[in-house]
Amino acid sequence: MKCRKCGKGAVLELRRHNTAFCAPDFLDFFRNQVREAIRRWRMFGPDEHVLVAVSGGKDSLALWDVLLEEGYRTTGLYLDLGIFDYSIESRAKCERFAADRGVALLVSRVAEEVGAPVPVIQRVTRRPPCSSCGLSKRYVINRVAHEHGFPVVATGHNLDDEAATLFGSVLHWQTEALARQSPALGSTHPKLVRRVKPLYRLSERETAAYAFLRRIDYIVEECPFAEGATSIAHKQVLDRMEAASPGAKHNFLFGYLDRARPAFERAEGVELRECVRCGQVTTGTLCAFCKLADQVKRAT
Amino acid sequence: MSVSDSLLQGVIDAVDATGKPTTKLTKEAEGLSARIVLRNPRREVEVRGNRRVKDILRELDIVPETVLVIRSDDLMTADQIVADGDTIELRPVMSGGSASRDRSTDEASDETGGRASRDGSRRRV
Repeated sequence: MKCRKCGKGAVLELRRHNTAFCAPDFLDFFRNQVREAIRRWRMFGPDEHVLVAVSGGKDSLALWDVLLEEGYRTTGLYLDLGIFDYSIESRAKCERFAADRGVALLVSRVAEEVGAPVPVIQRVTRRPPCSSCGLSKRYVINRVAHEHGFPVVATGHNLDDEAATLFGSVLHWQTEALARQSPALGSTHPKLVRRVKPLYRLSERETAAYAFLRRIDYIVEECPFAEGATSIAHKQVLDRMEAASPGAKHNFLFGYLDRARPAFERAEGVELRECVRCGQVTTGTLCAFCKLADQVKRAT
Repeated sequence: MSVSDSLLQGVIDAVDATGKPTTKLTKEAEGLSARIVLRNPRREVEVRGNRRVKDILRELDIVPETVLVIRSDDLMTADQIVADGDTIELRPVMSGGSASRDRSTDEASDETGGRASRDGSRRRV
């Protein structure tokens, strides 16, 4: 198989684009896709300081790497979930990445923020682990970004993540979630920091290939709580569809963003206010994070 | 059960005293000559070599788009030949379990609309 651009030996075939690239041309392709994502959705400008939420996995570290390569001013934020060896190793990967490149990394701990690490939260609240974990991540990332004055948070969500989320929302016709699904969510409240996903045009395999070719040391092992997660089941269904029809995921997500999302966007209208306890943004009186912390406090 | 199923089953069943998977090949695997390293959990199988990557993936019932195929420090494409004596890593690319919900910091966890599913999405009950 030959690189479509230079004719040398290819290292990666991209069936959805009916093409293949050598390593240097694939890295160019990857950077171009990120540039296009940032440009098309006006994610951030060259002078804005971007907070990059990193987990130690391929997507977030690939994102941080490509933003640094592109010359953006960035700081990393790692949220220690307290998930046994998985968290110890993933934190070490983030710290090493930051140290090797001389960039700043902020670290927050769920155990301090909520009152217990994710495994304990899961046990005492009987909530699905991905639910309390996702809630904690959204809350802490936004609060840290706001407190430090970052204008924008970038996360490593890729095309597969976004397609799987869309698939789940459509399966249950979650119209509020459909309205919110976007590569860039503007700040709709003074305490809500803009949130962007510069990798949304790139598949999971493409981000993994970028991380490998850039020799990024990321955690390959899966989170022990991810087994059986609904989002993974959705990804597996979509992978089968993609194998039978290359480009299916791309068309599903991009078709939604281009043609269907505006209809759901118009239908949505929620009032945002501040939590009476912590002051962060919520749709109710007491925010879900404070409710979670209360639940953990009562049970521990 | 296909040959690939029995190969994988033989490996998955092999655990040491601590419960960690070990490299123990089934009879079908003995004598075959390309070594395949699988992850999550880490384990190894041997398959017949001198075949294309895509043929080996098909035998192992692995969707090509779900893995990177790595030989030494290089990525391999589906049409490349895995030779006898080669060691190939099939590195999964899927990550997940995260809930991708945005906007206010707390929706998708607000229980008023229903019960959260494992990935944090809301399900009516």
